[in-house]
Amino acid sequence: MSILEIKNLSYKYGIGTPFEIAAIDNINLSVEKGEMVAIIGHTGSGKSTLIQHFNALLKPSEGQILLDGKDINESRETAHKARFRVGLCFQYPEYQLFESTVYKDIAFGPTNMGLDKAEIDRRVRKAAEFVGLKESMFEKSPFDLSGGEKRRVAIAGVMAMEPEVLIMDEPAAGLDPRGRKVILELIKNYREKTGSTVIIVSHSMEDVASVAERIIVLNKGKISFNDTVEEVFSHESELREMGLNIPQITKIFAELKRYGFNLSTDVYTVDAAAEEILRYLHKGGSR
Amino acid sequence: MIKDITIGQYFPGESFIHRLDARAKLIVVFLALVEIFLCKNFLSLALIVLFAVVSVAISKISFKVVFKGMKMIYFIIVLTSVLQIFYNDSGTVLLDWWKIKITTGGIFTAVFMAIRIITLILVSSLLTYTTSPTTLTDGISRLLSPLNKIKVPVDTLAMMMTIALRFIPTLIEEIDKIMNAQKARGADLDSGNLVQRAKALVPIFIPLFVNSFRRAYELAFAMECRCYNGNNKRTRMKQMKFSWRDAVAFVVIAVMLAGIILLNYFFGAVI
Amino acid sequence: MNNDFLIRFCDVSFRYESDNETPLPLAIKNINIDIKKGEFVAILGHNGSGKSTIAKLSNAIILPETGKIFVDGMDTADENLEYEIRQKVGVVFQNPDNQIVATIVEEDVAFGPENLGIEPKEIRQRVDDALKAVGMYEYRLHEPHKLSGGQKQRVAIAGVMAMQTDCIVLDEPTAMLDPKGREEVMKSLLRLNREMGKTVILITHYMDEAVKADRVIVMNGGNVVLDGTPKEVFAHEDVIENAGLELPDSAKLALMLKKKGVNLPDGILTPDEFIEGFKFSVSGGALN
Repeated sequence: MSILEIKNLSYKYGIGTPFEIAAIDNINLSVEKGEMVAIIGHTGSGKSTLIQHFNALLKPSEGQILLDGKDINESRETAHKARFRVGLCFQYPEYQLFESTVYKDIAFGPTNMGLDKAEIDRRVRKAAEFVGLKESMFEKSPFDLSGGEKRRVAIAGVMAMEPEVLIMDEPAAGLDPRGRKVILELIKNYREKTGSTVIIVSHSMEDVASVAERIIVLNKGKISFNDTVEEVFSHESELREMGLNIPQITKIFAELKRYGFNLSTDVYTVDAAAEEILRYLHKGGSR
Repeated sequence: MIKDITIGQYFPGESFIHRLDARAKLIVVFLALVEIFLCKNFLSLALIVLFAVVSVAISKISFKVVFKGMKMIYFIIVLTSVLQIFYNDSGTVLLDWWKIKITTGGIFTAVFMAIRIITLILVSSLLTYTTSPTTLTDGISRLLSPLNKIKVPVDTLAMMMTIALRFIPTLIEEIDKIMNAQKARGADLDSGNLVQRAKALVPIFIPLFVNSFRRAYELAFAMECRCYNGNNKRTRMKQMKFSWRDAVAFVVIAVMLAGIILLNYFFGAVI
Repeated sequence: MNNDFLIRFCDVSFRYESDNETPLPLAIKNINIDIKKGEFVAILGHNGSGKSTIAKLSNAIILPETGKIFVDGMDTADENLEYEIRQKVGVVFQNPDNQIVATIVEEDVAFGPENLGIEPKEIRQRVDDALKAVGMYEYRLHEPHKLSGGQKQRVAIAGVMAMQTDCIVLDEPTAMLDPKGREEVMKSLLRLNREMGKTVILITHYMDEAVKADRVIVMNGGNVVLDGTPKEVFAHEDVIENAGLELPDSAKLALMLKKKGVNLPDGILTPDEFIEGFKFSVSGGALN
């Protein structure tokens, strides 16, 4: 059953002026309950505009956003509720921290939901656990933390709302390799434990390949591809033209296949690649 | 909404007005503003309106843009002129009801004031529309450079001004981002009473301040790396040179001045 | 002093000032690095490894606690040489928004030369040359805040170039960019290095960028833990991973296969090298 359904969504700037531009142009898509989807596109492809519709931050020029079958823009009330049901964590979320302590900052969302103290406390602790923040950090000022820790506090702030759908915009941007891995792991872990729907927005194919089940590629406000990771990565030249890059491993396999090596192309991580090559060599390496 | 304000915006171009020296433009605009206040009757006012309209036409900036930019201050224009209606009670009485008395004199003054303010804004916004902010600050600092002698740090002030202008769009974008991020966490920014609304701004302003300080710190490093230290003898890539255009502008504004004085003298003052 | 070295770090240690009584640990511990003229050096390390401190030390923005740094033979601790040193070594930072000063691209590029008191005519020439070198000449009259991240970063590079520096140090210039922006910046840097002979020091945590350098230095905990050609450095998988980094995927795959007994050549770093190596060893071995 789809939790999120986007119907004929368009978003236009400068309506009625000669400069009218459609940032989002008649998009249709649906996201299943519990799915892990990636939305990919280069800067300016419309992906940020698109996700801001999912929690009613932006109102569509045309079309509908259905959450669990109901239009989120039906009333002011439903739109406001959508903010909590669809958690949106923006790019570089550490730049939005403002409270005097880590605990209070994570509690900001749940407090806005009007929950009681005990429930807020439960949620803050649970979210902190998901992102690997120890209780000893609760009373620290978020501004005294390292960059990676700040990022995790901010992510916890969105997770603490316990949204049915969690959207992460470039969660690993600007982090070093270890930091990227940690963030992607914790998102994976969060989704396994809570069973909630997760949408990752990124321009890094490497990051996405390791976590997502389905990739939606956005280009110039339209959906170019909406398919499995394997299928999308098989369109290397088209992706390149859109300013995107496929992972090195996928590139190697596609090329080897072109030279006649009989390898599976359903491979985009190093481990899977090693396994596949070994399988191939053991079979006697037939071309 | 903040993005709709066009006053202070710069529209690049190659027109006669665009190519005037910034210093000349500043002086001419200043003189034009003085002349607007010197106008004492509708004829002299008409002359300066003509000057303003012709200038806008020469600059090739569409009147639509110019008047759109004024949208924000229509209220002030209307308010000031309406006040004039009640303030002035000379001339024939048109309406006398309860405490309200409207006279032809009042109407005249109101219309006169409205035209005067609109012209004022027209002329001064033409300055910013046709001069890049950096050139403008450069022009101001050069005009004020004699103040250096009495230890006013004109260049430093000009640099501060340039940086402020440079960062306005960046900060507007930043406010937008922070507002969206907090709204996504359920922050309610547009309901409640005044106190509640003021409180709701805390999650916006704290990150904004923190981020601005971080930006300032990084910018200071970057400027230092490029050999800025606040008291260099700086040269400028763009030289300011007076040309025949500036001479023409000065002649026009001088003729205008003479015209206004003559018109005031021969046709009498109505205001 | 050997004149071939543009920058020399001699036993340099540095620590940042602490807000309270307890001093912070050393950010840089007793390091020695010599950078030759015309080299393209990548400095790798995780966040907090001390790699960004190197950038600020290299042009006298901060001074070492102990040890000496020489730029073209000039001691960075000598206050009188500050200007000359910064004319030799320019720095580009991570966030392009926070290093652009002016509201027009060309005026920003002119900022450095203007501070140096260069003649207006000469500034014009330098600005045009610098913008052409990074492929931003057509954008010279644009407003910087309307450019893409990659374009802004190229403007920042042009700003350093216009000071006619011999060396550009870049502190994670691509961390905030998308793949297209990263490619643009890398292309410009390679061009400055290969065609114009500029020394480039690229501080990054993207392995695919480091692979393109002549030399790679890996930092960990304030120390230099590896220093050599990309092939030499990336052969030390354990040290790299200890430093919180990862090998490029192609290199990782090659090493993994070699451990399992697959016959592949040493020093594979890029997809192309892997494909060549694989074709050679498989057709030369198993198939024939």
